[in-house]
Amino acid sequence: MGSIVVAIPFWGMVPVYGLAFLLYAWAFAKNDPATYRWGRVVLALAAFAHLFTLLNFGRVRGEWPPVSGGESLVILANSISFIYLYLEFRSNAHGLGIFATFIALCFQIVGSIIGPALKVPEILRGVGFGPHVAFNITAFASLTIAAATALTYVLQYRQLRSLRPGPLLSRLPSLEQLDHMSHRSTLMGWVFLSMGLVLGAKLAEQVWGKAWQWDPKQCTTLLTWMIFGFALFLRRFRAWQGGKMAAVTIIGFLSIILAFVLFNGLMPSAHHFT
Amino acid sequence: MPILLLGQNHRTAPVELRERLAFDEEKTSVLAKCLKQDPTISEAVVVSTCNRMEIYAVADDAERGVARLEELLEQVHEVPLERIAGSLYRETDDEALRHLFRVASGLDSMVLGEGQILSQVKAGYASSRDLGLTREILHRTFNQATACGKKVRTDTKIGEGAVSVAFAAVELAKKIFQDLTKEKVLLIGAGATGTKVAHHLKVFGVEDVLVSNRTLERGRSLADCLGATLVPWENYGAYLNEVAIVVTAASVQRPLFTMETVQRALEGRGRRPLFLIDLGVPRNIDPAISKKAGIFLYNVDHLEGIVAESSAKRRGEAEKAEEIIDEQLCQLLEWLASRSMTPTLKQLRQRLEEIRANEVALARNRLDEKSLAELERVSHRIVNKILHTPTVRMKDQAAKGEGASIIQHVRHLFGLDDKSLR
Repeated sequence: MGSIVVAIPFWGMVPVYGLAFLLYAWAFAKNDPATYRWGRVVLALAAFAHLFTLLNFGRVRGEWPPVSGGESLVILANSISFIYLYLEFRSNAHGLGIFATFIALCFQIVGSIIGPALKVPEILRGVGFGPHVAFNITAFASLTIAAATALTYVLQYRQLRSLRPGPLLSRLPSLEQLDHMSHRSTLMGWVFLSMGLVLGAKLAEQVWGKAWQWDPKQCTTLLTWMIFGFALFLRRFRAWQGGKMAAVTIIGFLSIILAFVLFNGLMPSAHHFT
Repeated sequence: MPILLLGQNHRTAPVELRERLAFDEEKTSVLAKCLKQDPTISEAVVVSTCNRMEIYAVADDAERGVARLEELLEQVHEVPLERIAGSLYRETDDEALRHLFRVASGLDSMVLGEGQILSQVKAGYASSRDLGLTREILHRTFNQATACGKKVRTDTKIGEGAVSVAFAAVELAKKIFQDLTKEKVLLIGAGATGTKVAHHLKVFGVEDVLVSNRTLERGRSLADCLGATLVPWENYGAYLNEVAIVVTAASVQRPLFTMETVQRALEGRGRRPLFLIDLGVPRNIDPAISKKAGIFLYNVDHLEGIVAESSAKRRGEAEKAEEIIDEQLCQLLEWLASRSMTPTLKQLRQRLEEIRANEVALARNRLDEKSLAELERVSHRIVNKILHTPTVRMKDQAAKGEGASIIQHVRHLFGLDDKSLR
């Protein structure tokens, strides 16, 4: 496989995401709408170019990514970019670009350090594995953005309640925008998670012979699905929004991270394929 | 040629005097007609806003130019000079240009750092240009002033933060609600600041405003003025569950809203945020309400605190703005200085061209047509090459402020003032 085909979706995209981050950071510091527009253009170009190079990498290898931790992380960076761009487009609020591009850049760098898997284990060769992981990664990217947005909501809320708002006030979106952005990404994350779970269960049935086997990854994913499903239920049927929803989103996200670390770190998992 | 400024602004004249000297389209064209026929003034730009009237001009002589502008002002506005003379300021060259750059950057505005003045300066220049009043000097000057104004706005934070209570309230509302056009506002009382806040909210897109006032007549006239709906004073509390922003500016001894009334209203409005702006003294809203989640209660002191803070920040940014002005002004002055070389350079080129043409003419009879054309071409190139280095160096020296002595030397060396050589 050509080394350029391998390098471009990994280290090759780092400078582009870096440039998008720098533009958003400059725009944030200067509160300059023109630079925000440039940031958006560069991020959109980065996201599409990254997707294209990832697909090309999968085509050349003969197996779609992700099949390694490094590949998962760069796909996560790509998903975060797309999801953020969608939210920015829908809400016309660009103050969170600095955070979204920073997270994407970090994942891209760590993913590039770990690198791709050039040999694909036999068990992962199949039509359903790529989409299953891609759905879960997109879900995780959405929920990461939902949590970051919820955190920003809390920050903005506290500024407004302090009665002496600082310079961040004018740079961050309005409370309602943040609330809507967080809700949209939670909803998106939950839908992708549902698809990932269903597809995962089908694959598990094929590979392990049964759809559910109390695997730590299965358990934490189901827990995530339940927590955010409950959050969506509260919003829809109990009219929860604003600060309360932000708190639920942040707590939900933190508990998932904790569960992932505890379950996956301490317990043996059938999800180790390499 | 000196650049002049004759002006009047909010610091030198009260509004009664400023409105006498304001230039509308008609008066500007009358002035333009007079200026075009005037031999003293070669270029002019009029900048007229509600806070200032300024004429920038290029004249043969500074004193005569200013005197002529004063006469024209008297004539166009039909106002005796002695009545306005005390309120006018007059500047020339560097000081006039610095003033223009400060104006374009918002440093000379009533509200420090306000951004509207930059477009007003641009509009003033465009209208004078369309009337045929500008040429090279003021074209370059106003372009540089506009660039300076833009740079000040992008490189400093001079335009950031609210500088009035009404504007601060609107800025806060924009950070709570996503789209002000969809929000409903309730204005209680007819206080001046409250009315300004409601007016600002309307400017920023709020369509639905409810007004309630104890005196029905005053309430009605305020509602008409704002394009709002009048609601009965006895029943203002009933609207609390349908509005997003409440502005209170009533003179009352007991709070209009207590914890109980707000609590009751909130039950019917879900968990949407409520922005309460209490501009009344004594306060119209029980401060304990601010403890409730989702409620943002700001009183006049909070808003004035925000205004004071951003005004102080703007003053701090003014120093950075002055540095940018120095830098931009320096560029313009360098260009103007290099421009002073133009007549000498023109004469020098003419002198060399004369010599070239004479020598070519002498050779004309000895050469065929093809050789003559070649000689013309070569001699032109030689003249251009000879002139290139002196032109660049003379302009450089002029930019360093040593133009006068260089001009003198060049004129002497090439005999540019010697009539016998012509």
